[in-house]
Amino acid sequence: MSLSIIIITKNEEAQIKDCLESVRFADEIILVDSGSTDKTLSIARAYATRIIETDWKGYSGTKMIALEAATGDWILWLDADERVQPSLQEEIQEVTKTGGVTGYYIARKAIFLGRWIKHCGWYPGYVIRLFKKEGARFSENLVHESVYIDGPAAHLKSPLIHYTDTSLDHYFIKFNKYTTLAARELFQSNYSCHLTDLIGRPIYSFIKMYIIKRGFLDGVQGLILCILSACYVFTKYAKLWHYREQNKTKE
Amino acid sequence: MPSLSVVIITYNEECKIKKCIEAVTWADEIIVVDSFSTDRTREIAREYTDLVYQNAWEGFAKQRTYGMNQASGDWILFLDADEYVTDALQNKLKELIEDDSPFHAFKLHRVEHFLGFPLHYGTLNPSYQPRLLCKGKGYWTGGAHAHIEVADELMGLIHEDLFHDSHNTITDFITRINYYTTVDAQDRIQQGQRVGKMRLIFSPVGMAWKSFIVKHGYRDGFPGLLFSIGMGIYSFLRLVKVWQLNNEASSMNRHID
Repeated sequence: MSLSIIIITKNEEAQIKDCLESVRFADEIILVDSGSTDKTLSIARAYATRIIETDWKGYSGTKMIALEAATGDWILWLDADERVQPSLQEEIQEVTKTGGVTGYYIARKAIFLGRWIKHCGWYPGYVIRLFKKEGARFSENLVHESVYIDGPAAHLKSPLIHYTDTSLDHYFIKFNKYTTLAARELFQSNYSCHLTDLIGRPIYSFIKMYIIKRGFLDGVQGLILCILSACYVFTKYAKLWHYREQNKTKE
Repeated sequence: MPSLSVVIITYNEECKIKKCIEAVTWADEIIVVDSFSTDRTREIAREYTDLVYQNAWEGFAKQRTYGMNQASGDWILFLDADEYVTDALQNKLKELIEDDSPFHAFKLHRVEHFLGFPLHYGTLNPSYQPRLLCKGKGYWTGGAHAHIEVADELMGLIHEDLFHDSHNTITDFITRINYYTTVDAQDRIQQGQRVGKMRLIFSPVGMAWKSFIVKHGYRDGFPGLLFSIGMGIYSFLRLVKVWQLNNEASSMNRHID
């Protein structure tokens, strides 16, 4: 049975080479790019079976284009900041040969500021990434898109490597984008923002990650991550509050 | 009767320039010094004044000096495109230039507008910015925090409000925090700052506390709270960037297995 890698990109020149290099074993690589202005495409041409350039159609819409273009029986969905290690490669090759189930959960080993975050509730963080093409589709959630499969799923033993952030500047650009998306989603669902959301939720998020999920065992990186997560929650609700205020003045 | 020129410096301010100019149309002349905007800034400005100039950006002081050299007024009011003169300030300025002022320059009371709400307390306040100069009696100098050079006893204060519409959205605010902490972190590295877990926790909390409690940010209500926590995030992000610069290369990828 054949394996297709699907991957969507925009300006990933720093990550894309190592990523594609780690999946050369696949039968094909489908890369859907939405308007990169850097060297992403010229790097990808050496690896990808097919490159599709398209406007941004949202996470799920853009991934659907990749999914539909894939010709393999099995799909491995990868992000540019992820790598497949040899042990995972062996497992993937093994299960796609036999394949009793429809999809596989894969753990992700997140590397944050140079350290594997083992706690904070981040590991193993199983996600379905390997699945049979037939019947699969992506969900519509704005921020954390996931895949729906039509049948049972099992777990693989080896993790993916996920390089979360190379630079904090870059992290904060994403931070800004994702908090806006998340706040809009809450706004559309007509959720109202209270002081408990703005103050209580970030504190709760910090305590949960740093103490209950034992983030304190992850060194300075663990502390930074837990505070950043609290900032993330705070910013999300602060943006929600501001959307609602702006809406009030409009009305 | 003494006259007043207004010098506005701009770069891609198509959203704000109209409001800025409309608040000073009562002045004797308006001069816009633009540093090659790529949006409609100049076009909008020309609807109000013929005195629209282009000058490559060389810092606040040089840009304002360029504008001052084009001005014919006895007094010059310097504005950024995100600053608006209030009615009270307008009256005060008119009064002041008619009287024979003993001062050569003035600092104006500037009120931040954060997300559309005025902030009267917190870290930034009270804020007095040099904005008014009697022509020929002083000059602009300095870098990021430019100032007017006159003798201290010749610098007066104006307490009427100049509005500063600096952060319209939280996204905008975060983008600025991200930018300034990067610049700031490099300075801190040169000063040899070290960062540990304790500092990562207590510095940001201290910063937010200072803005919200010590400097009475709570009196601005909800926006004051958001701004104070924003100051905490600023402090935290700066420390994290210092930590990262200190640890770059030396410890990266040592703990990935």
